[in-house]
This record gives sequence, structure tokens and C-alpha cells, in this order.
Amino acid sequence: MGTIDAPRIKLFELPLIKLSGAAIDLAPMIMLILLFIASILAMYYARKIKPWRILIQTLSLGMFVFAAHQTMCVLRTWIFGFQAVGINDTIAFALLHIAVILIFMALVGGAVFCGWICPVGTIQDIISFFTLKIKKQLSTKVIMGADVTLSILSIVVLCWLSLIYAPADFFFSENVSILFTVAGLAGIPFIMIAPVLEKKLRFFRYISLFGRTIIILIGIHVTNPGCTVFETEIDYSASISFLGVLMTAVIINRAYCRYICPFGAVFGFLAPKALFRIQSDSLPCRINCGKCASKCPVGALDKAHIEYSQCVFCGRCVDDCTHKVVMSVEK
Amino acid sequence: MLNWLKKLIRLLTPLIILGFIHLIGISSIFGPGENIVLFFANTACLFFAIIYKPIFSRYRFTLYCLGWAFGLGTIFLRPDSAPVMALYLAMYSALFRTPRLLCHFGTFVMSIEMTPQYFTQIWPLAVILIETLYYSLIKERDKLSSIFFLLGFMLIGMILIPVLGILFSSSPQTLATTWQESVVQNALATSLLTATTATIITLIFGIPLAYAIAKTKFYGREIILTLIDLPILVPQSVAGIALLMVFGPKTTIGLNIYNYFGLEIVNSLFAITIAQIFVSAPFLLRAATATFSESDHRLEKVSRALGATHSQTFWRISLPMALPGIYGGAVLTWARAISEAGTIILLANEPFTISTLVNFRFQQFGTEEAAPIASLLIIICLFIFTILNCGKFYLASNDSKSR
Amino acid sequence: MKNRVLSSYLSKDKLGKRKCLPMNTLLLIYAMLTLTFSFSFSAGCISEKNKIKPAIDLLLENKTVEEVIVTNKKAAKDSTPNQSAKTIKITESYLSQKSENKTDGFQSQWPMFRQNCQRTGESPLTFRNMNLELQWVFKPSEHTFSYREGTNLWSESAIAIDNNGRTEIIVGSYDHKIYCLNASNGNRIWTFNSGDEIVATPIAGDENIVFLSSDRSIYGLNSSGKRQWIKQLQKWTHTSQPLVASSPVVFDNLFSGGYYINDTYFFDRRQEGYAFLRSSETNEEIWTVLLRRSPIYGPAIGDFKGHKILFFTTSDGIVCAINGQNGQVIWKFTADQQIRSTPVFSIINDKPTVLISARWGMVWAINGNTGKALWSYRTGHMCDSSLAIADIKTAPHQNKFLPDNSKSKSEKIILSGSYDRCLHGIYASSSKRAWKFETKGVILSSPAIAQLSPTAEQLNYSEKIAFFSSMDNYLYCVSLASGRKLWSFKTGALPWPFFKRGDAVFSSPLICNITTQKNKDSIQKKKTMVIFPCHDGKIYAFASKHNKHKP
Repeated sequence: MGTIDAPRIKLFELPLIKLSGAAIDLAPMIMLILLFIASILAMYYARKIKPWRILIQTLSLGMFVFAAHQTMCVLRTWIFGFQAVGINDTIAFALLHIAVILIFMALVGGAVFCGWICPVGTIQDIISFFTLKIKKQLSTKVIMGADVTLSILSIVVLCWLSLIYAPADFFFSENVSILFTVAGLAGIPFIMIAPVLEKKLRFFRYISLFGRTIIILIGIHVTNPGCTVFETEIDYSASISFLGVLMTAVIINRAYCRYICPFGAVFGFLAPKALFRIQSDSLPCRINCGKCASKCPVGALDKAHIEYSQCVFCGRCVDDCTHKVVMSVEK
Repeated sequence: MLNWLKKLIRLLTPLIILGFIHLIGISSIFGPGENIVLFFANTACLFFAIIYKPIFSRYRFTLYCLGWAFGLGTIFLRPDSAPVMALYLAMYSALFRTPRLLCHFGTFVMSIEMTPQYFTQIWPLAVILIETLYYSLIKERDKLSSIFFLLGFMLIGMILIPVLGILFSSSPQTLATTWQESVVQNALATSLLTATTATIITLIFGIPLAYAIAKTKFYGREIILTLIDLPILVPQSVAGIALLMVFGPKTTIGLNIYNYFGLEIVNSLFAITIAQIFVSAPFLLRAATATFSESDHRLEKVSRALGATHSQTFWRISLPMALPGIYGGAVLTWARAISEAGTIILLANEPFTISTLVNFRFQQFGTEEAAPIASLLIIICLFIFTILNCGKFYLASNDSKSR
Repeated sequence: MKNRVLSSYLSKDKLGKRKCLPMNTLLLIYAMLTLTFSFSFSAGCISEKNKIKPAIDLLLENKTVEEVIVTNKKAAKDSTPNQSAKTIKITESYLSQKSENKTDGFQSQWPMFRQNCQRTGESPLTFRNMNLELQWVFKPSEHTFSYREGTNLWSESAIAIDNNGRTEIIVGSYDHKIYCLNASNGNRIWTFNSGDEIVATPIAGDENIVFLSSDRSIYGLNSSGKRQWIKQLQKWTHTSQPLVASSPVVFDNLFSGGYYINDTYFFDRRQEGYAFLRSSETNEEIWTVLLRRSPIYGPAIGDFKGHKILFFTTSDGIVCAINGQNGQVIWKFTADQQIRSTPVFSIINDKPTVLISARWGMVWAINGNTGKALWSYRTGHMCDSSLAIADIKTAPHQNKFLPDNSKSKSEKIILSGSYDRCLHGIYASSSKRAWKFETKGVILSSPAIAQLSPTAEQLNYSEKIAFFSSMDNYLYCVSLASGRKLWSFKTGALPWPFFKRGDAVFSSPLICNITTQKNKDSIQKKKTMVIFPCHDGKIYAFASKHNKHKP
């Protein structure tokens, strides 16, 4: 992989709005906040949420890929930022501000970031849009066979690629991302066979978060698949695990978000305590048509009962059902 | 339409006023970047103020506003680290609804800002304190328990602060290099081996003794029970000298064994095991005697009445019933054996155990060299201790199931 | 009917009718706001009076170097004869012939980090052939290794000085000592104990050796290791952190560098990055400027018609130019990311250029006169080590390796090591990539450039070669023009199993020569050596094998 040249696709490379003259750009932070306000307002006031969501998702994807030229990797920078607080406050701010904004978003709106802003989620939604169209035309047996083979194939391909392209002296230290991704995705063939295990695999998110935190505290370099999309470094393990995320998005939509993403774990922990949430006008639902559960990309709906630690706030259930209220505040 | 506009303007006026204050007033102190960060922090606080006003009581809302003012005050008093303080302020406003999370966040910020060197010791303690107070004060509304928790917190702090301090004092890389040293690995192996052997020997000889003392009511029973506890009372150096006088090279036993077998007891693994048995046996004996005395005698009498012999009763009824207690005593014995240093230094300094190695390194090089080995030992012992204690819960639950 | 939550906050009265935000809420909010702001504002104004603002923050508008020189010349002409003694001394030394010869151009030995004031890393010495053999290995005594964040095993590089005909290598180490070694055989001549790790490379003045130690002091030693003077930069308190110092430069017995003082005490937090100019013989302070509240790296010195302009970089991404005479900031440039390496000054395309490598892999070229960006080049990953630059067209017959027949007289190549495990060679005039040399580990050391004698390879040109070490435990030598590997050597591994990325920058090689004499009557011969303080805790020295059969 040494012959790959680093691409220069960012629209601007020098900081737009500098923090006291330093190389810390406030423009991505402002863009994130504006996107967040826009998504909350859209969820609130729009009659049909879907076009607004697509618009904001595209905007945010464009922002991350072309405009954000600093590292936005949250978990690693959060921990390093707290370690830098007394030592160099400017660097501490540079590392901490995105994390604080994300947690603020989680406390206000739950996993709004996941459903409206996260570029990895957007890409997975695009992939699943096309695969759903294809799946509608095939029979269930064919689909199941294809899913199982594809999931096993993806794990094999990931391992093979990582052994070829990402060897390093500290093998474990540079490839933590791949390890966690592969471990989480290894459960997917089992889910295909026994769907009951799906709820148990959701717990892996918390293991991923805990493991990554411990490894970062030890000092080993950890990236995550999202780093390929919005960072400016070419990191082998992040790129390979991103490939794995894409491959499994064909099988289960947002498999990465459901089972592996550590930020999803943080949001899942904070979302039940959030200020805004999707709630139904009439609980419990008497109709039980199941339309909302079939539309939900992360499987957070079960008989019109929303599990807030999984919900990504995309609003698909609100669009299709006439009885759901967009937001109400938990007091 | 006009109504909407009026509502919007009414809502947006505080925001516009805030914007003006930032544009005109604050920009004289801070540069444009910091100004923007502060503006966002203030907007977040304002947004939450609007949301909290109808929900909270007047007292609570004033508290929120005072906290906001205090945050702003800290920002202006320390303008160099204004952006980071602004982040704290924004988090404060979002977390004010959940007091528990707010307290955790507050202690986190205080320990990072005020005492960064002791952060790994202070913050876990603060977390434990807040959780215990939350459960006792708010969930169960037990004021007495919460006061007792506060008082007894000193004790927990006394135990945890040094342990946490040494646990996190060495970087993981230093621990990894220490782990790879052959001296350290040999010392670890020696420690584990001798402690396990000591525990097994104590078990083999101690359980029957405990059973016998518990069952039989003879004349000097109380005196024997007190004497069994003696090694706990005796200082470690005294115990070392006492054992030297029995097993040393110039005593009868030591001399004879040396002459006939060519083995020197002092400075050998055997001596370490003897020292560990000496200091740790009382724990097992106490636990086992207590368990045997307190176990249900009626079951044993029933089994005797049904025709079982004494030994059959022991193996089938008494021992399984007493197993959880004996297990707990055995774990304590093992822990005491591993942590023994003073006796072993006098008796057998040479095949290094971890405890003597730490002492040796400390005498030679000081705390900096001794600390990594100490934290390595604490980590390993914590690990094994947790596993063993899980075993105890497992046994206890099994036992209650069978009943 | 969908409920709109915000309307429920526009509080309802008892009958459930919705009202607008009531006036008392708004009044309360306004009152709180004004109270807090006025209180905080006044408190802030009071506390602001006693603090010095960093010089970079005070610079409102960038000036160009030429303007400043012109104004200074005018001021010098107009000023009264009662100038302070310090300014006279510097002006004289700047313009004196002695300083011109000593500081600019190449030197035969390696007196500071990156060999010269411009920090190019190039040495004029020549190697006879690429058949390098190991001369000696130096290892300090056995020590139980204790790692804390940012530990480097050796200082950023070593220096080589000539002491009565004997070449000595002086290097700082993590075990708080400065070692002086004999370059011919690696024996230890003397050691000096300081209080804490030594990360910044020492410098060699005319008589004194000066270094900054992490125990917050500057030491001046004489050539036999006796302490001549000591300057304490910060008192020890229980909250003060080790000093973060960058390797200084030395010219005409004046040395200049940057250091960062950090005290985490909550009520008197200090995060101050200073740049200074002092005398290495007398410890006299010429100027010390508070530049920024971040670590300062550098400087590189550019010569503008006799005026020395110092270029510093700060950890939060700013490059600034400072007038060497009085420490005034002339211009500042903000890069795209943090910077952790020393800048390099060079004349490229007849323009004075400052080159820096920023944290996430961008190499920036900045106009030394105006402070505007000229071009940038992106490597794949973090760049923490300094750049090296050399001219490959010094001998006209090297054009063989250049892809185009460029008519310019000089073509420089910039070397940048990166975390993407490659060493990049960049054409300075066009900012295009010349070649990329792949290794299996990240490259954290700054390359040292030397020359290869023409007779060795049976080709008749003198080739420039670059030495560097990679974290795959190999030492490499590549040709500067073509990027092909000429030599490699396997060393040991790091003493600890992993290091945190961005934590430490491991040592760079240096090139010096030693004088050998078989016996008293035979001729003195000079042998060129390359010395690598390596990340496995040892120092390796190599020299070319003597060619017995000359073609």
C-alpha cells in the first residue's frame, strides 16, 4: 500500500476560523452545531421527515469528506484531551471540543448524531437502500444463503487483507480496529441462523467501548472505521475495517452501528436520559400493524415500543405511522 | 402569521441580546475564536434556562443560574484556559437535569483541574462516595446510612488511596518491561508456588484439627483456640527469629538434616513455605473452626442415627456443609501467605519471592525501581483474588440451592 | 394533532391556554445575564492587568522582513551614540567576518542539532564507499528501564566537537546524564549528571558546551565536563512539570532556542513558551520573549543581508519570524495542524523559504520574507521529525538521475520521514514527489545527509546520500537523487513493547570525521563516520571499510 498517494480532496487546508491564532479550526465545530440544530428543527416542525433527513445527511457527508480537515476521532482524542488539560490548554480544547459537542447532542436529542449526521451511517443507509430494492425481488431462502456466505466471506477477506497489508512490529497495537470489527461481525452468521441471539450481540457495543478505552489508556494506537471518511491520515486498519463495515451493511443495515460502534454505546447509554425522544401519542399501540418495526434500520422497535438505547432518531417510524408524536420532553 | 413572528421574536430576543454582549463587550478581552466558543457555551446555557424555567422550582432554577454565573466567573478569572472552561460550562448546563451525572462530572472536573497528579486516586473514590450516597440518601431515604457512609469513607479512602496510587504510578510500558525480566518472573513463580503449597498443607492438616476442636469439648479448648491465634499477634521479625532458632543451621534440626540429606533449610523454598504456613495457618483454623461449630449439628446426628459411621458423616455431611466457610478461610490463608515479607526476609532472603524482591529493590534503588514490581504484584493478586472470590459466591449459591 | 413541545414551554395558565414567554421569565434571564457578565467582566479586567500577553498574540499585522530591516537600519542611523552595550555587541558580531564563516555554510563537524543554523542536516564530509562496517557500540550501564510519557532514550541527536585533535561525541540520555565519548573507539571520556532527562541536543560553542535539561535548567560545561554556569528557568514545586525544550542553535558563542514552562497548580497555572538568545560563554541573557502558551520548537536561522532572523514553530501550529537583534515578532503563519518539529530555512528558487512538517503529514513551504504559504505537500500520515534538504545539482554529472533536464542551477530535494512508514523525497522547486522509500516501520528520525565519493561505485560522480533509522529496527542509507537503498543494518528493538504515537521522537544520526594515525611517523588520515544513537538504547558508529584494491 506504499504506492498510494495521499489524496487531497479537502476544500480548504488552512483553518478558516482560528482559535486565538492557533491551528485549531472552529469551522467544523460550528458546522456540526448548525447541522444539529437543523436536524432537531426538522424533526420537530417538518411534516415529512424523509426529504429533510436526506438533505441534512448529504450536507453532513459533504462536510466531513470535503471540509473537516482535522481529526474528528472522538474516543481517542477525548482521553488524550483530558490528559492534556493542565499541560497545554489549547491542545486540550482542540482534542475535547468535538467530544463535548457529541455528548451534548446525546443529552439533548439522544442519538441524533447517529441518524442524521454520522457519515458512516449515511453510507450504510445508501448501501442498504440499494440492497433492499434487490432483496425485494429474491426469495427468502436465496437471501438467507447469500447473507450467510457474504458474512463469512467478509470476515475471511478482512483477515486476509489485514495480514497482507497491515503487518507491523506491534501487530496488535496497530490493528485494534480490525480486531474489534471482526469480533463483532463474527456474530452475524450466528444471527442469520438463530435470530434470537440478536439481542445478545447488541451488548458487544459496550464491550467494544470498554476495550477500546482500556487500550487507549494503555497507550496503543486505536482508530475506528469512520476515520477513513473524515480524517486526513491513511491508516491501514481503519480502511480495512471500513471495508468490513461496508460489506456487512449489505447483510444487515447499520450492522456496525448496532453491534460495534463505541460511540453508539455512549449514545445508547445517554439516550434514555435525553431531553427529546420519539414518543407515541397513544401508548400502548392498539393497531400493531408492524409497519414501524419493518422500517426501523436498527431494530429498535418492538410492537411500537421504542428501545431508546438503540434508536438513532432517523424518523422513519414517524413518517409511516400517523399516530406517533415527534418529540416530547421527559420531565 | 404575525402571531408566529411575535412568538419567534420573543423567543429570539435573549439570543440577540447575548450576541450583542459578545460582539461588543467580550471581544475586548478575547479574540474572535474564543468569543465564538463562549458564545456557543452561553447559548447552550440559555437554551437550557428556557427549558428549565417551567420545570424546576424557583430554588432549583436559581441554583442553575448561580452555577452559570460561577462558571462565567471562572472563565473570566482564568482567561488563558477559557475555551476548556466554556466546554465545562456547556456540559454543566446539559447535565443539570440529572443530579447524579452532574455530581460525577463535577468531581471529575475538579480532580482533573485541581489535582491532576492524584486524579486516579481521588476520582474513583469520589465515584464510590457519590454512588453510595445516591443509593442510601435518595433511593432508600436512609439518612443514618448516608451519614455513616460519610464517616466511614475515611477508612475506604485509607485503604484505596495507596493501592490506587501505586497501581497507576507506573506506565504500562514499564510494567511490560518489568514483566519480561527473568528475575521478576522467577520471583512471581516462587511466590505463587510456595503460597499454594502452604495453603494445601494447611488445608490437609488444618481441617481435621478444626473439626476435632469444634466437636470435642475438652478442658483446655479455649486456651488452644487462643494459642492458635498467636502468629497473628507476633511481629513478623520476631516470628522470623523464632523460626531461625528452630530451623537454623546451628540448631539440632537444621544441622542433622544438613548432615544426613545435604539440604540446607534456611535460604530454600522449604523455609519460605514453613514461614508462610506459620503466619497464615491461624486464618484457616479460625474460619474452619467457626464454620464447623456453627453448622447444623442436627443433620449430623440424623446421619449417625441412620447408621453412618463418624468418618462417613464427616466426608459426606459435615465437610460439604462447611465448604463455603473453609473456602473463604483458604483464600485468606493464600492471600496472607503471598503477602508475607518480614519473616521470609529473615529466614530465606535468597530465592526471591515478590515481597522480598520489592524490599531488595527498594533498599538498593529507591521507590522508583520498586514501584513497578509492586504494582505488578497488586494487579496479579487482584486478578486472582477476584477469581477466587467468584468461586466462593458460586459455592455459596450452590450450597443454598441444595438446601 | 401533533403536539409541539415548545408551545408547552411557553407556559400555560390554569385554564390550559397558551401564553407567550411571560415577562418575568425574560426579566429574570436578563437580570441574571447582566449580573454575571458585569461581575465577571470586572473581575477579569482586574486580573488581566498583571499578566504579560504572549508576543505572538500581540502581533496584529504581519510585516515583511525587508521592511523591518530597513526601519532598523534607519533607527540605527538616527539613534544616539548611547546605545546599550548589548545591541552594539550583537550588531558587531552579526556583521563580523568571523561569524559569517562560522555559522553559514558547512562545517566540518556537527556542532548542533541538524548540523547548521539553517537546520538542513547536511554535512560536507564524504564517505569513501558504501561498505560500512561497525566501528563501535556504546551502551550505558544496565539500568532498570522506567518509562514515562515522552521518554526518549537519547537526546534528539548528538554533537561532534574537535577537542585538541580528538573528535568527541556528546549526547544526552534518559538516565539524566550527558555522555562524552571518544569518536574513534567509543570509550567514555566523561559524564555529567543533571537532574532529569535530557531531550534537547546540546550545542557546542567556542569553549563551552550548553544543554537544556528537563529539570528546568540550562547548564554550561567546559570541554572536560566541569560545570561553568547554571541558569534555573523555573523553581521546582510539587506541581511543576518537566521542561519541554527544543534543541538550540549556536552561532558565534550565542545560542538561541525555545523552552516551555508548565505548572499545573490550579491557582497559578503557568503555560509559557519562551524563545531566548543567550551567550554560551558568559550566560548573559540578550533577550527572552514570551512567545505563546505552547511548547516552542526551533529555531532555524535565516540570514537576510547580515541580519539574523530566527524562525520558531509552536506546538499549536504557528510559525513565526523573530528579529534576532531584539526578539521582536515580525510575521506569523498558522499551519493546518499542530507542529512538533524544528523548521528548516533554505533558499529555494531564489526565495528565502521556511519549511515545516505539520502533525498530520503536511509539509509546508512558507515565504521567509512575507510569511505567506508557497506550497504544501501531503505525506500519508503524521510527520514528527525534522526535514532535511540538500542540493543534488552541485555536481553537474548527477543529472543522470533527474527525470527532466531542468535548466536551473540547483535542484534541492527535501526529505520527510512519516508515520506512513515511508521516507518522502520532494523536489523543492516544484513541490512534486521525487521518490518514496518504503520501510516496514514508522520513521521518526531526521535524516543526515553526506556525500559518497565517486571512486567507490565505479561511476564518476559524487552522490549525496541520506542516513536515517526506521522503527522496524533497521538503519538505512538511501541515495538522495534516486531514492534507492544503498545500505542497511539491523539493530535491536525498543526496550519496551510499544510506544504511544506522537509521544516521542527518537534520535537522529550525525556525521563527523576522526583523525587516525597508525604510528607517530605516518600521515594523519581522516575517516568519515556516521553515528546513530539508536532507539534500542545503544549508539552505533560506522565508517567505510578501507579499500585495499583501488581501481
